Amino acid sequence: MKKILFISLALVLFTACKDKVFHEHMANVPIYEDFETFRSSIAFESSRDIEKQTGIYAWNQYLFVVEENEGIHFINNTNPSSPQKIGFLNVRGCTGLAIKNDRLYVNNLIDIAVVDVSNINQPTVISRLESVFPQNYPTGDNNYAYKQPDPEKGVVIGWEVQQVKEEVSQVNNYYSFEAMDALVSNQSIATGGSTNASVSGSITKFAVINDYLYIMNNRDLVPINISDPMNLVSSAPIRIWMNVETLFPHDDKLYMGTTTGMMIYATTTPTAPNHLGTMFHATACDPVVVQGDYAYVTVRTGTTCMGDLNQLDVVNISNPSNPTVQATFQMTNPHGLGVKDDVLYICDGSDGLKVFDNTNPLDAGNQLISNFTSIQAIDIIPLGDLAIVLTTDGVYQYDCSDVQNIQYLSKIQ
Amino acid sequence: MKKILAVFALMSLGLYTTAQTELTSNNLDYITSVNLGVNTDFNTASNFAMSINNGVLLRQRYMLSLGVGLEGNQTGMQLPMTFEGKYLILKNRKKTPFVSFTTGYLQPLQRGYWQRAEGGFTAGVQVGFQNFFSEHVGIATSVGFRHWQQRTHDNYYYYYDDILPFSPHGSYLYVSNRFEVKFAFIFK
Repeated sequence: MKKILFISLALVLFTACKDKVFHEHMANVPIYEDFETFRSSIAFESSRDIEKQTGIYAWNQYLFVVEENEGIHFINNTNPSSPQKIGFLNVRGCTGLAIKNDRLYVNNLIDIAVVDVSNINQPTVISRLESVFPQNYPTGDNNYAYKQPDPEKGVVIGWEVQQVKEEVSQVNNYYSFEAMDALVSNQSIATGGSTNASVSGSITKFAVINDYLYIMNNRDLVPINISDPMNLVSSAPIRIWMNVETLFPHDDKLYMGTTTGMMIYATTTPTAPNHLGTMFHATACDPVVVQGDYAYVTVRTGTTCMGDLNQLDVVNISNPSNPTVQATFQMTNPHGLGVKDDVLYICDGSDGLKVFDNTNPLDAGNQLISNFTSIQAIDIIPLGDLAIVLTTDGVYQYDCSDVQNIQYLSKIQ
Repeated sequence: MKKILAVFALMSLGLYTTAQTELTSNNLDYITSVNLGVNTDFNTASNFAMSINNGVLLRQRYMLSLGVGLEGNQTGMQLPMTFEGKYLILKNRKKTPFVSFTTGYLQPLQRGYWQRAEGGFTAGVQVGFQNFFSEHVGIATSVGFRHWQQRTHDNYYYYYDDILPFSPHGSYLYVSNRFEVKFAFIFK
């Protein structure tokens, strides 16, 4: 009996012989919501203050300001001197939008939701492209790692920083924050080349060309056919080898502002855009807009942008396979930009909004017309005679009918 | 660290003094053992260990001792400071099997570039056989199970351009359970 006990004890002890390492740390732990509740959560509410504005869009006489991860402010801009807030569309994970033919397309974390805005006072969700971005999550506390979500448990609608303990195979001395970046999407939407479509600022990650909505989702460009808003169809994602921050649609091409240059893709085959050319620059953030044969690229430094450049590059794109920088102008900390006819607008960080004469694109940066230093401009939409400027404290509108004498019209907060 | 060693040395000295005093009673013998061993998880991890224990043998059956040593585990070289209790199964025999229990504190001796280890905990059980082939000298062999727990932290808390007041990476808890074989010289 004693022998049996001894042998049993020895077996138990020896089979338990294994070195283990447990990683104990504070981490963003997912908060889940079941799919049904999540997909019925979009609601139109009364208007509220603009607090975390990340994108601005214009459609007909309306403005739309995206509040990152929260939703969209609807604003009636029939009278730009006195714009009126209509309401707030609560959309979880929203970072951008596009509107075409009375249909508003908005990212709703893992889904694309289609909202009927034919009655602007009563927007209604009419369809969804479900789980097109299964790994899009809201932003958590980036000081901590993210615990891998379990898609079976529902949609991740938030994160809670908690102490976690998990067995690891080995100790990693280096932590890739790219993994964190990959978890957290940061998207916005632009449109181009479409009729009855919205217009966006330059800092966007979505773009509409004709019947296709293009979405830059982390490293993948995802084409979505929106010809039938009730039945969106996504195509296979195209892996982009650079870190794309902005998309700008122009004619049948996509211009991508990346951290290391500007890329041009043709959408001749809408379901499979192909690379045409690349203009490289040092590591920095760089939105891009296009007019005629020139692309205007602002290159800036910042916490997440790195680099040491703050400049405006004017790039000749007459040969899309070989875009070349033809002029460079020093800036302070340029963010978004816009171009309309002979006027170039640069949102130059703490230097405010700068307006340049763009008669000669290769000398535009030297032809400053006016500088609005009282605002910290983020992005701009030049629309008709208006300059609609997204700033850190709301939306400003200016009358640019006389570019030599630009007049302040209103501020939306 | 020096204080810990000094306290430990004084404790050992106290036991030694008591043992010398009581030796004539034949109920309390002073025992010193020099232990050499190896521990393994039967996979990839194996380490050597050595220690010196000073203690007393009560009633020719219960051996209580304090030890210091040098051994390796997952987090590097350690200075174990242990308490050991040994029960001799056959009383008043030169040759006897025994069972023993060990527990103690681990003082890390290495500081890694990325990680620094805290003091840890160890415990183990052994079964073995000892043989005094003379009045004062014997040998013992034993096999058993050994457990360690030790925590490490990052040395550097950098995050992009900022230095954080906390470690975003947290800490690592190393847990080892290994098979241990020991060989000892025993002096009475």
